[in-house]
Amino acid sequence: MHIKTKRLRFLLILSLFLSISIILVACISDFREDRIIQVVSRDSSSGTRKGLEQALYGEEKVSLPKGDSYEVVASEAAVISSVRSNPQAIGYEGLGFINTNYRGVNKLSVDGVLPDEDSLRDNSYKLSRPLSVVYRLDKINANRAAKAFLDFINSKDGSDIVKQQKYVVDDTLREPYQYVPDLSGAIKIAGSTTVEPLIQRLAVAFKDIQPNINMDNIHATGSGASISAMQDNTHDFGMYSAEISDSLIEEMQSGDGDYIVEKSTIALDAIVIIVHATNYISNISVEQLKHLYSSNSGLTFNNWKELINYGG
Amino acid sequence: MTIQQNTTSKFIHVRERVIKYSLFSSAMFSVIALFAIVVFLLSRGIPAISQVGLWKFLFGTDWNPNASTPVYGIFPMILGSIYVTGLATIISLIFGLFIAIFLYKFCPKKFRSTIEQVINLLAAVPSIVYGLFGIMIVVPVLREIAPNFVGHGILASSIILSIMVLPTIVSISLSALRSVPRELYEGALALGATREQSVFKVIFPAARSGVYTAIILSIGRAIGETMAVIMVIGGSPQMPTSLFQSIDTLTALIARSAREESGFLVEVLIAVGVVLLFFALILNYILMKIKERKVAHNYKIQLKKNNEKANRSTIVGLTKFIIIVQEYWKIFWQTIGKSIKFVLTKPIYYFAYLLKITRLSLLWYKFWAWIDTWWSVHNRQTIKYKILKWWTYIASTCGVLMLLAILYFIISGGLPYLSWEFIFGKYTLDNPTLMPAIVGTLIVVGIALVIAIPIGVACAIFLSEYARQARGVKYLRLAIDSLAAIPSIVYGLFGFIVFVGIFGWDYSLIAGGLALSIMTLPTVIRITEESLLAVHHTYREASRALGASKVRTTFRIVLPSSLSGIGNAMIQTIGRAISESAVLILTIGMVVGVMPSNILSPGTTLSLNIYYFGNTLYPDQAAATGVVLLILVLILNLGLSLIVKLLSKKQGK
Repeated sequence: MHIKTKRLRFLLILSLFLSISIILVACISDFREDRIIQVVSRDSSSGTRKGLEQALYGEEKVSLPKGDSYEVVASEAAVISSVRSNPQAIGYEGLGFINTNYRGVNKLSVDGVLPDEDSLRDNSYKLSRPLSVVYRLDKINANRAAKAFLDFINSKDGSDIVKQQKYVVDDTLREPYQYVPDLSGAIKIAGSTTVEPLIQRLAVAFKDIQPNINMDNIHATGSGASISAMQDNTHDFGMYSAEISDSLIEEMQSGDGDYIVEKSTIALDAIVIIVHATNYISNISVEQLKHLYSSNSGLTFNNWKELINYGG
Repeated sequence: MTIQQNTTSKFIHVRERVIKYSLFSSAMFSVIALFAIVVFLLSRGIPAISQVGLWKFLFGTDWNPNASTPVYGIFPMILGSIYVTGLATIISLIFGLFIAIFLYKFCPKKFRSTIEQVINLLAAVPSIVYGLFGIMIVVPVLREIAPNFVGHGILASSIILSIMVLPTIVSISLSALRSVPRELYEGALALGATREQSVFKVIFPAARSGVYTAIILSIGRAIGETMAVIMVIGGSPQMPTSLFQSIDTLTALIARSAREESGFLVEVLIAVGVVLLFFALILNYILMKIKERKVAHNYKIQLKKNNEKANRSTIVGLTKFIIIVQEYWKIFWQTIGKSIKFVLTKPIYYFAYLLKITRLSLLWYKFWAWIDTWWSVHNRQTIKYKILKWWTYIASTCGVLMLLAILYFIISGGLPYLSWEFIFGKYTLDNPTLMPAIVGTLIVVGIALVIAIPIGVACAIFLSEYARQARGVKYLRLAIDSLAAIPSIVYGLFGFIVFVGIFGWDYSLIAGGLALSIMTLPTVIRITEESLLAVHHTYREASRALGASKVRTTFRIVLPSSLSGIGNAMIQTIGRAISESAVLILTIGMVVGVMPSNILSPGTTLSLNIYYFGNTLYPDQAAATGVVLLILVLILNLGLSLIVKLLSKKQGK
């Protein structure tokens, strides 16, 4: 009798918890218009965020509105997983990333234009940004290997690899890469997490042609790192995933000594607005996005209905 | 003959002293480490704080480094950290203490070691996996419950953190419970107390010091946790006003941008690290005072006698205050309190009686027969402890189910992508493999073990065997507790400043290993010391009585009897070193694709690989890496517990 009640007690507790958890998991709902908008954004050092802000607001400095539902995450993947798990969410992401990770999220068209290679090429998609590398002229002239890698990026061979990754690049005037005999040395690169996979692929192809090059040091931490890489003269290249303005070049040139920083664009990328798979909205306007991602206008949307109704 | 004796005794004398001072110097290592951390962080953080302005920095409610005139006010993040840590600690105490009691007394013998293993396994699950679990399960469920339909925030982070902190609380309070002499329990039983009464009223209070240690360590872990919090906290830097609201904590703020930002903001983030450091130190100081107060409370009768002397000390002031409060409480209880209790509880009894007389059907009859026997067997006094005992069952079930849920989540996500090729193949961009990470993990964990275990064990021996004779042990303990309370992201910042920067090692495996070994040191010391203290004092006395020297007693008698404790310390160190990512991300470089050639080359570990894979184009590989990590930890735990079992068998226990 005693043992039986003990077992019963265990079973009771177990079944109680199982049923509670099943009920809780089962009641997760789909997208609903009358609920709050969960706005997912990247941290301030992200190139993607800078790219979006440049595309939406130009040079105007903006800050995220403060609200219960404004989420700031540290990586592209975190944006995806946040949006994928949240029916009320909206986020943004690089096109190159979204092409391989589109499960569970919907791409929105912006002002009626869907982001793809064609709309990027003819500039009809509004939210685009260049992916580029920056380098110090004095350092690159001193390092033959780095110079050769830069030539490779700007060659026909380089742009072929970029195209394979579904990025857009204009290569009509490019020449094939010229093999440099007896080339050896190390190349150190730091910067954007968005550009890094692309650079990794370029590096692998480059090492096939020039086998004596050491390219083990590619650190991806965020576009902001390329600024300090230029200022402190620690790396040959900095990767940057947003438009590089003249003032930014000046900031990069503010390190010790006199030197010149130049940029070289690798590819063109689109910033895609994504929502949860159960969300039935298919289009969003630039105006709506402007109010969503900045507190400057003072207009806030309390739920999805208000956003949909805004501007027709 | 006499000369020979003299030289032998002289030799023994010298050996005693040499060993004593070498133990002392390794004990001092933790003081030096603490000192170094404080100095190096201050030297970078203070200039930034003075530039922003201390008041504006600490109590400014606006954080906006992107604005045209940047504002750096971290008060919202400070509040966020406090709320999240406090709530998480409370939740995990409610569960963890009772799980420890369950394992100590109520658990059937068959399940005991299994449940212990399971709880230990929780410690080894990498924090990034907890984060994934949070964002997939906890946040969506909370979103449905929350009044404003926001799942992120304080509650979600606290729940995740409380699961993470659980093993710390369970293992430390369990070893404290086990170190309580058995005679106390037997004495209580002999006096007529029930099993539950003697556990909750006698054993548990006797193990209080271990519980305080558990609280210190768990708060340290909860404050410092970064990777899990960052995924569920939301990250919007605003003042926390509700449980369901996107806010930010200090650690999340640092981790989100310390490696990415440049220029002045990095200095500001190091300053945030300084705040975090002082936050941890102050908290630790408060807890130390609480401990002292408890000691004073026990001796209050002696202290009452020499009142004049007592008046000078703040501790005694506290004690006096407590006595006064107690007196007032007694008066209150005698006059008003009892009637309140009467009013509150009587209706429940009436209700129960009403139910009792309305037994209508046969089904009810059986139920009420059960209630009847229950009611008659136990009086009201014991029912309270019965309920507590039930709660230990429920808490343990929860803990085990939580782990099963997390395991299911990781394994179902990662298993399809797991293959021999993925683990041991050559790394390419299209087929990323784990081989570089495995080598890196082995090297880093090896460095951490080689440094932390000998120093930690020596320090623990010094504390438990020699400390009574040495002066200033209080400060040594303070240093160790402080090290334990320092958040791991601060260790990361320290390694980033010193090993990567000043020593010029750049991002390297040795920098990561050293930072890790300092971080795991207090854990090793604590666990080893608890197990050394658990060795019964008669062992030492018998050995000394037979003529063995102190060193001989310590190393031949005491240390072998507490080998299981050292094994436990090693498990915890390895588990922590393997799953740690906040320290390594700032020191090791996260170079995923290259085999490390020596300890000075940059590399990666398995947990960093999860972070990297999850952040780049390989989310499935992240889950698969999680599975590999879990299997590795499982094998480690089983192997070590086997070794410990064999050793204790050899000891004839």
